[in-house]
Amino acid sequence: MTVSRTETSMDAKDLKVVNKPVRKQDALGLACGEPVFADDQEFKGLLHAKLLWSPHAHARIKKIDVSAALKVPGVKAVLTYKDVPRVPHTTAGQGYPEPSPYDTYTLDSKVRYVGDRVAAVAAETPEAAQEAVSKIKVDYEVLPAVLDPFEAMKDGAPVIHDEPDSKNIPDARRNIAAKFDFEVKNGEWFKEADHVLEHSWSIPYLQHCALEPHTSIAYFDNFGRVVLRTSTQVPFHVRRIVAQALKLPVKKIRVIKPRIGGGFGSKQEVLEDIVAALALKTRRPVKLEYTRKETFVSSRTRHPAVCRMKAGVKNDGTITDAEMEITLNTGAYGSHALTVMMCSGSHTIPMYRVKNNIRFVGRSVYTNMPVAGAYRGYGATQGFFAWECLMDMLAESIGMDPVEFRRRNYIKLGEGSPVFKAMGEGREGVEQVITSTGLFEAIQKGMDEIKWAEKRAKYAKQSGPVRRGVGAACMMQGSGIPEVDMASATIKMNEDGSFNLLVGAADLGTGSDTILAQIAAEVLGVKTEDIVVTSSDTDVTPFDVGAYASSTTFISGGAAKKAAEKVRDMVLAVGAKILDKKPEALRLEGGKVVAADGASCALSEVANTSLYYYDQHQICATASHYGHTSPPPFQANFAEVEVDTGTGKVKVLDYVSCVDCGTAINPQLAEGQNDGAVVNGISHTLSEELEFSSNGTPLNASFRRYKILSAADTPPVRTFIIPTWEPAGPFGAKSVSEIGINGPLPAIANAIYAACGVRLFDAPFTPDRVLAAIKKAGKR
Amino acid sequence: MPEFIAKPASLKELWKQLPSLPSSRRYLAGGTDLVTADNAGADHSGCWIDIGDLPELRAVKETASSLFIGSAVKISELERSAPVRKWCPVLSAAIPHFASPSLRNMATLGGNAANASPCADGVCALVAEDASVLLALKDARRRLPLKDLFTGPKRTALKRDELILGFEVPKRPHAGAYFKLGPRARFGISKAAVALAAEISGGRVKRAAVALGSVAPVPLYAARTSAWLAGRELSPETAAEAAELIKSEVSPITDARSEAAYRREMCGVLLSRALESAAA
Repeated sequence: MTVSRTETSMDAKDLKVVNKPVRKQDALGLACGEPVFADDQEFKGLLHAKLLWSPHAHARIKKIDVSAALKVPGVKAVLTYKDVPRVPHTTAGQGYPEPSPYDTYTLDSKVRYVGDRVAAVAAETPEAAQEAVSKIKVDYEVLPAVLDPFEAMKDGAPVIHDEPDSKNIPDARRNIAAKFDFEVKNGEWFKEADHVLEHSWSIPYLQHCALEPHTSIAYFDNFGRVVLRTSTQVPFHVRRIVAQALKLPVKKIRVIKPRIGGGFGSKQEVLEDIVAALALKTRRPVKLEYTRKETFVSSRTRHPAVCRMKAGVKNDGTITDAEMEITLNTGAYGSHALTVMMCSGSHTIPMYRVKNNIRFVGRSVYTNMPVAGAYRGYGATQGFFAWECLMDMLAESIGMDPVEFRRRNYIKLGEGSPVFKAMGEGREGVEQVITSTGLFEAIQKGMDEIKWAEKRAKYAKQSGPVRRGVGAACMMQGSGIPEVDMASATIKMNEDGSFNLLVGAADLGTGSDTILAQIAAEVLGVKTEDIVVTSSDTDVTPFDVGAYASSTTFISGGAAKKAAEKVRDMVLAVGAKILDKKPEALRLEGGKVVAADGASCALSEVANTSLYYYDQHQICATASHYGHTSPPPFQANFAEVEVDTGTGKVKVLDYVSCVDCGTAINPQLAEGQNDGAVVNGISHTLSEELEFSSNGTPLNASFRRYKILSAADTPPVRTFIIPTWEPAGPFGAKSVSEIGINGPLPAIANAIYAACGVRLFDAPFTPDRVLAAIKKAGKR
Repeated sequence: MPEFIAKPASLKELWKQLPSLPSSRRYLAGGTDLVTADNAGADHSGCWIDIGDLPELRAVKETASSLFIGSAVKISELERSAPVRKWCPVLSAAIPHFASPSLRNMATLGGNAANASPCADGVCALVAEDASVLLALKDARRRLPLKDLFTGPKRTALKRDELILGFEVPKRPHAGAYFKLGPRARFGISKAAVALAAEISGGRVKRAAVALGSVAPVPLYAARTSAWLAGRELSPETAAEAAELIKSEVSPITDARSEAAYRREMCGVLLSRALESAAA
């Protein structure tokens, strides 16, 4: 099946509100310091929560004595594992049933990493709570710990989940939290290959570093229900998982997501059970706000990974076989263990045509280390680092320009991949073909902007200690999880012709409230300002899985569009009565119902008619949407770097990122999101790494020690939106949020190689590491 | 923050107030180290004495043979000072590496020296400038070569209540360079830093002073390498030999910021580059 852009009924040029850089709805309030974040509201009688964290990587609690803690003035509750229900669950905020193992307990008698929950305190002041925490006496039986995933899989390694009641752990005895194997076999492996190359690439522990730490306030409504005002990406999953963990009916919980200061996946994690438990115990409002150190250690991280790839290539540029074996360290709990691992293959392997054999072997392994979870890129970051560096090496082995090599092999319009069907997120995927792609144009634009040919030639011969190079990397991601992610939207009309748009979607700073309003406004023929958005309140807004898997524009946008279309039909029906025309002859435009002959009536007249005069009814509709496919956005990345071979310092001089996200609903927000993802990725590449002592204690869990790029370090990042039209997306849109983070590691690694002939396989590329590689290769 | 912060209007008033102040007292200038330490729970003083606005410490003054830099002059003021640019080329080269523009608006050289961190960029540069430090305790004044102020990591020869008035840099025509390797462009503490002051005439080094940051327990004056450089021709060979020599003079450690071996090697690389830049 081939679908081309011209077959669609609309094009971006016909659009009035969509594809325009309208102002982000919450921008002014945020800029002016309106009290919009979780912590910005005051609650009478608020208690403050503090947690006691495990000082041991692996230990059993033999005895825990809270009597001294309870005597601290102002302390209202101290909870240990004895005080909360023991319910195996996952903190991964995913669709139900979650594909992550049920291996986590609100509090447990065993601790599995330095920073694991031991006990929780609620007190009148944070100081009293902290003092009480320090007075909890714990007698630990310290157990042998295992910090390395390869050691953890060996016979005789400490078993981290030896409890009998955890569920869905494929091999607890070998500490395997998730595994998946997949093979396409077409003849003998590597038989046709002229060259076979193989290597391993690694990524360390990385943290999201959202500006706002995890903050939750639990309080009670007038009916005694628990209300959670929380910084989450997944309000509906929070409601369901907290209900599960604390054995409460879903109806007893309301979750409200206010404005969020960034999430990047870390807030796709349901950690709200403990603050809800403290509120239930004290019957008082309780606030839990992580410190920065707690955010680093006890929230979530990216899965550290070792990804081995082996591929064969023919001299004509055909990729014959490809094999990916990835081992993820999921830490003490298996949050997103299966799905991140599967996405490391499912988002990457289909990128290029592989003629004969494909194999994927994935393991997510428990260790006594901080818990990994969702992080922007979601496995594709780990997978593309390997795949795109290997592509560069394969191109070199046959003497072909690396961009030309990619062009010959990347997945084209109308093409599919056996991987799409075989590998979904935690289960089988869906069959799909590419229905829109701008990768050809993206590559061309990127080459022009970076001056690829000119610079490759110019930098081929260099002398002196400082060398320059340009490198490329291409990628794809998904747009939501097909036949898993569902979103819905409700729209109702007001007297003045404005509309309320109620969506479950979670705007975490991304601007999704704004783009969903643009989509509705486009259909209803009004301005974005005429759409009043209320989002992410489980009592008020219809269901949405939440903000993850690059899904909101594609899935929630689809729901908003469908709901708007239903409302449009209702508006036209009333307009038809007023104008005495057939509804089919009418359209919505400029805040009016307009007939072909120029007759019109204002939307306010329609609203007032329906509400007060004739056939009285509320114009209101709800629609749901889920995808049957997950159309990938595509991206071409080009980096120009300067390598100081004397010091090993790498400087990014220029970074060009050309992204095909279909129609950018709001080009300015899309660009901003891609810029942010790229900078995040460059920071991974050059600087970020959580370090640990030999007993698993984090050494640099602060912004003083864990270096993210500052504004002064940020190189020129140039995002170019390459417009295409995705037939399955709302107004031709695909996703844009995650893809950008995957480019810098391989693009910069390839540029470093072009500059000084040294390949780097282990992130981050710190000066010490780069210099060591240069010396090892004798390239000084 | 301590419960009591004193802010005398002059030195005279300071000495008068001193006996009445709580005994666990510390001087506060720009606060970029002290307030940070306090925020981290590492300062337990009962009193801070804010000397940041004392007029005696706020001036840059030129005499016939030297430049006086008051200890409470902001780093960003030094950045804009014409005499500093003229007579202190090493310091001028170091200032862009000093913390960040926002911190430079608060930080002072007096604080940089009193804090005695081995990684202090301003101090390291001043050591290479051959600066003396002027100290005062009531009527008692004394002067020390700046390099002798430091006795260990975060330890100085300052007596109790003794105050740094300022620094005196001899006026002499010389070239200066400051090379620093940090984790990022701003807000980064160095892995290694090299300060070089060199009087050059006819392609030869007449006199040189090399100081290093973050590679010894104190901001280090490299006496042997400095002496060895005197009289040498400014050539790639000299740079290479000096680079070897400096590596034997430093004693870096492995810590969260870097590895000892890498730091040692970088001292050589940075010094040879400093010499190259002085030759240019």
